[in-house]
Amino acid sequence: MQKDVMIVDDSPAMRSFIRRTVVIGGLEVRRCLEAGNGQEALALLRNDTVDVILTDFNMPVMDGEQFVQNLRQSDRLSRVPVIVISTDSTRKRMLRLQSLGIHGYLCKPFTPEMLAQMLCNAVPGWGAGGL
Amino acid sequence: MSEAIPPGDRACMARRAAVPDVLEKMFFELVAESPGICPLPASGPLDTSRVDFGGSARGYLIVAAPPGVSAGLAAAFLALEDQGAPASDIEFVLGELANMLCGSALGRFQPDGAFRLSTPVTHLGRTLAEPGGSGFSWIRFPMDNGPLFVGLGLESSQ
Repeated sequence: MQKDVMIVDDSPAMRSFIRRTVVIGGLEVRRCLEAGNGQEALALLRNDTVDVILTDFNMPVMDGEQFVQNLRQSDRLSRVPVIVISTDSTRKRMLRLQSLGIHGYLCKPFTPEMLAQMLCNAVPGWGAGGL
Repeated sequence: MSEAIPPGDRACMARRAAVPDVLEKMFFELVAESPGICPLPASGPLDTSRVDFGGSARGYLIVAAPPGVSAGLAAAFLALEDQGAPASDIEFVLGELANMLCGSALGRFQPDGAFRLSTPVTHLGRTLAEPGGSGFSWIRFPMDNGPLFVGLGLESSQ
């Protein structure tokens, strides 16, 4: 089952790595939208939607927390699952973001299997039989 | 990690645990033998990236590698082993490596802490002066295609 994914990260290298890792994890991707920060992502989602969003936390212009807050205030986008991928593995940061209703918090470093498991949990039916 | 261990030693243990984990999961590289504290090589250019951190502890982390090693890491990260990674990508990836190592080490050093990390500052192919300060040390992580040096300076810790 193919799904539409959005990757939000200010590092093109990390976006490329995540895109590849989703595929290595055995998940089929129909479209992959990419943005360099939360503001760019919101602009892309103005007339579009995706099945799941993978976002970094530390980004210029609009960080991951502000981005998630904006999504949660939108009638159309509030239910899109969000997974935060961050280098920050401290408990305070994880708990704060989980209080915003994110579906997962993945600390770098991670394996394709860890990412695939989190995506399958967030998007019902994705990866069934593929993992 | 026990609070009874001095902060400098805990930071060193956190670095020793974080580096092989990041290299294996994100760069598909294994540390070939036991890492050890040692100075940087006296000669030859190095690619370097530095991340400063603040919050529950203040300091900085530097990664340094001979150009061939950082090029290999960038190619592995971006799946460009066949054609090799261009210099702009090596710069990006080395910064990403420094960022990940810093976050991963700090998460182990103080799991209940709160940190701010700066944007990595990366330089390719230059001679690096040894950072000063009594709280700084390099650890050498040998890999198949050469060593990765990871330095950490701890200026204060709550």
